[in-house]
Amino acid sequence: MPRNSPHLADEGFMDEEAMLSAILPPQAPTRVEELVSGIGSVRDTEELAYKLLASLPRSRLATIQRRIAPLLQFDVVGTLPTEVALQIFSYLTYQTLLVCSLVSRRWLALANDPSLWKTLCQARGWTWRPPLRVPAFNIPITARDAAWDHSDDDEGMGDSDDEDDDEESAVIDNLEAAKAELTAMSQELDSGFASMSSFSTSTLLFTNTKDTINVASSSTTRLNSPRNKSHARHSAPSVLNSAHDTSGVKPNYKLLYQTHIKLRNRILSSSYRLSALQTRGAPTNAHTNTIYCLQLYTYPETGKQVLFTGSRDKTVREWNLTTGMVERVISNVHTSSVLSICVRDGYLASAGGDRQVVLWHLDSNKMVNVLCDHEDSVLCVRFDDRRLVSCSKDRTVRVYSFPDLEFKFMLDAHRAAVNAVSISESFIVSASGDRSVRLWDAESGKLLRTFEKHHTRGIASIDFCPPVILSGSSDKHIRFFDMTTLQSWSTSPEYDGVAPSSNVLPFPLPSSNNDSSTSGLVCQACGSSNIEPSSSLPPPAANRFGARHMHSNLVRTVALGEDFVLSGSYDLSIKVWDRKTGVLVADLTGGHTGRIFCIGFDSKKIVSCGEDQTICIWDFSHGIDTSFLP
Amino acid sequence: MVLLVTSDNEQFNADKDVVERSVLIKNMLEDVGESDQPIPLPNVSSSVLKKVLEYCEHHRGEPLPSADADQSQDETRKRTTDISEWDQKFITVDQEMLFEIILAANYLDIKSLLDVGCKTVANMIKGKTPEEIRKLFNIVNDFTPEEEAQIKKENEWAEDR
Amino acid sequence: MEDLSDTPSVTAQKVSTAKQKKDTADQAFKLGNTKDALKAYHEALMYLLGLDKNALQSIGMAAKPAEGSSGEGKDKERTEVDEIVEKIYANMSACHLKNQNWKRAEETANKALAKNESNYKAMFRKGKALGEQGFFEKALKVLEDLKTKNPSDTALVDTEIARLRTIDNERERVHKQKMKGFLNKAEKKGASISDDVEPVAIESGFIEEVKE
Repeated sequence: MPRNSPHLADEGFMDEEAMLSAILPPQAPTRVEELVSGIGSVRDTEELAYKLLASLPRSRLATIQRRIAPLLQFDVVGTLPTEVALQIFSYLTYQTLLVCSLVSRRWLALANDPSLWKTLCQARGWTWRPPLRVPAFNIPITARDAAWDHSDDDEGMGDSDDEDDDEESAVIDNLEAAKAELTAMSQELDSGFASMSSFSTSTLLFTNTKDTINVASSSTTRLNSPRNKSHARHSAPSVLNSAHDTSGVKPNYKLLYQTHIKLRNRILSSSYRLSALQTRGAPTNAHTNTIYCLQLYTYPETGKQVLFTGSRDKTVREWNLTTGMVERVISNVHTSSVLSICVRDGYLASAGGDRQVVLWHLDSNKMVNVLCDHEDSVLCVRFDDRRLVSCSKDRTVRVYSFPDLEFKFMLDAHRAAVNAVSISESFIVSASGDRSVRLWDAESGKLLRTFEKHHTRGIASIDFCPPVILSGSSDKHIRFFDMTTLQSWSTSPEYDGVAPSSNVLPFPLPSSNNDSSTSGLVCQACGSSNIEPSSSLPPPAANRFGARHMHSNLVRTVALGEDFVLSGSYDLSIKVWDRKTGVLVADLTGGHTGRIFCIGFDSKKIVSCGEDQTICIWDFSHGIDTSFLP
Repeated sequence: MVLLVTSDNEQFNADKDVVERSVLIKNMLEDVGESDQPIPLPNVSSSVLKKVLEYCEHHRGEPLPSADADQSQDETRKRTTDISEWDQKFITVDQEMLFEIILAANYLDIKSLLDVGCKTVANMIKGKTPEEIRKLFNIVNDFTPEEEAQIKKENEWAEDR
Repeated sequence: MEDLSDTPSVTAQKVSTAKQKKDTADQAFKLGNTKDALKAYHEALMYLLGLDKNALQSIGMAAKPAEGSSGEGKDKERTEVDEIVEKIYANMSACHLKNQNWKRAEETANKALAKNESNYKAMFRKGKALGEQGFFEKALKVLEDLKTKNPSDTALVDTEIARLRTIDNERERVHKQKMKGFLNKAEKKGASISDDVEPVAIESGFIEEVKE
């Protein structure tokens, strides 16, 4: 077939064979066959190929180029040495890794490589704990005697300089309603239910439907439904399913990561199992009055986790979380309510309405020191390995060295009771009824900053993890505040994101060692590096709870987490907020019938206590093996 | 000046401080001292070495990453968006050459070039579905439908609710 | 790299060339000629590093699972090439020790250990190199570890530990003499010396004195 051969125009028309032999060295016509079949030198084949291609018209070349394009695409990742392929994968997010695992078998093997997941876990500060084989079960809330005295005031909070008592009545109304429900429910429950399945059945395993929020009002009807009565699943204690032998198990980082994400999703979908450690009268050595404070504590030597609580009944109790029993009672120490506790490194400090701070050594079960310096109730106590700090209704904060408790100095700037205090290695943060939050140098006692205008009323609670301060107030709002950038979010529309008055300067903290970019800041306590100093936070987007949410009463307790922050309130609810944006992600209700005074949490659960003498456990890890989570 | 010889027997002359971006070559020069004898690089072809030298020439004088730096332990999440403009242009090559450059960087121990290459491939993967990835790299799906379904199910935990 | 090393013959050739070079190097080392040894070792490495696993497989060098691997991901399969590379690095470390080039001795020992963490010679050399550089604590750790893993060399290791300890004590003594002067001055200024409880330096660097 005649072809236009512009390159060979000089030579005029030629047929194929003639052309080939013109191209090739004359001596080997069989060479062509050799080369085409792959025998022979690659270079010669390449040369031949080039010459052939060069003889084609451009349009043909283009077609050939398209035809061979797939030949030029190959599994780069799969062909590289494994360590290089893993380096490529190390740049991917966990979601992308999961996508990669679907590409091919080789990619699956690479994507599942433990080193990748270990790095991902380490970046989030998630560690693998060699599991103790410990079955857990939750003791569901049994029928409650609704007749408790709710007229106790909250001794754990002091005056503010503009006290307003309007809120009380609203609280009481809610409590009446709650009481009424309980009486109705206890009637239901008497009808031959096993003692296990009770109130808790109606609060189990919520999915993210609007119904869950309104559970309190619909609880009576739920109990009637046959489904709940015959729910065999919930009539037995839930046992963590560690089917495999957990001793000496190799860390499975992918599973660790997966479990954390699952737990996070559980929180986002309010999927929890609610149970209570104590209700009035049971177990027999439980608290007999309002529970003001709590703290989850893990013994460093054994890894066993317990719960410490302090109460108006003047005692501190230690609860075994697996059996639900009280294992230690510290009594005859305080002569008035225990308002605050702090447990750390084998020591327990308690602060009381009797103006004392007591330091207890856990292993030897002995009191090692007492401080009687405050002139009024001590509302909060915190300590670390260097110092112990207490704050009081007497408007002062006192700092002592730890553990000898030698008095160092007093911080005396607040104009009303100091309700809460929180410390870090170099700072002390105090919050007061005078509506201010103050930042002090922990070593010298020097006042570094005063943050006012965060709240319109006294501040009841605080949590601090440099550079972030979380505060909850009598004005019903919470505020999340980064002191290096002054960026913040709040549940109050007036203050959200607004830069405070000009006389407050940002408090500079040096960025971390590595790099100059924004993500250098790391929270010491929680390891989170989610803080983005120079970004301005957008207003919270609408979510399933509606555009904006807030507590309907004083926020008595707050806690900072890695992805979320928590708040517990007089309004009987615990709310979970997205840490970055302040969007409400979960609203935990139906657990308490009295004001909530304190909350605590770990990666699997939230624990709360309050006026109704109940200790609620909101367990998000039900059905998930969490034996390897610290 | 240092003399390098590639697998296809081509010789390249380059300045010492350029070739020393390759820790492999740097160590050799340090341990053995300079000589007139060419350094054999039997596992790099000339077309690739040309590109590699171009990179080294451009980045001449920049500090080398320290030997002990364990990048994977960094708290800062590994970023793939910090490739410089010049590097990005440099690494815009066909898949074959990209592959070769990565291999050469690995062989010659030029960490920054290896990082650029790897990040580039990572960026090619991001945001794609498995099918799209297969198409891009002409990979055959060697899973059975059951296996694929199984993996999908196992991955459900990562989906946003 | 693609076309030439694809053919099995070329790959086999590279391996045999490398082996030859290694032999040359070993000979040179025995004669005490570290420079020539290092040169030949380097050249051998040039041939061995970067060889494609597939190419190796095609010449019958399939990867075998490593003995005693800790299993922390990454291919723990070793080929004969891996073994040769390991030996080369271990020997290079010996050369560097002889030349008193402690840093390179440590680096090459580490490379050998990366191929095989149970290479006792490399462990020993690493420990020695660390100690000579002044990192006594690190050296001790490595050498103690070596003793547990390979008890038969205990006597030898202990001698080395003792030797390094002497060097370290001497160094410490000299250092203290120098610091005495500085410490006195610092105390008068009121600088906090060592405050570190938590490793993260976020808070402390800015407002307090810069720590060591």
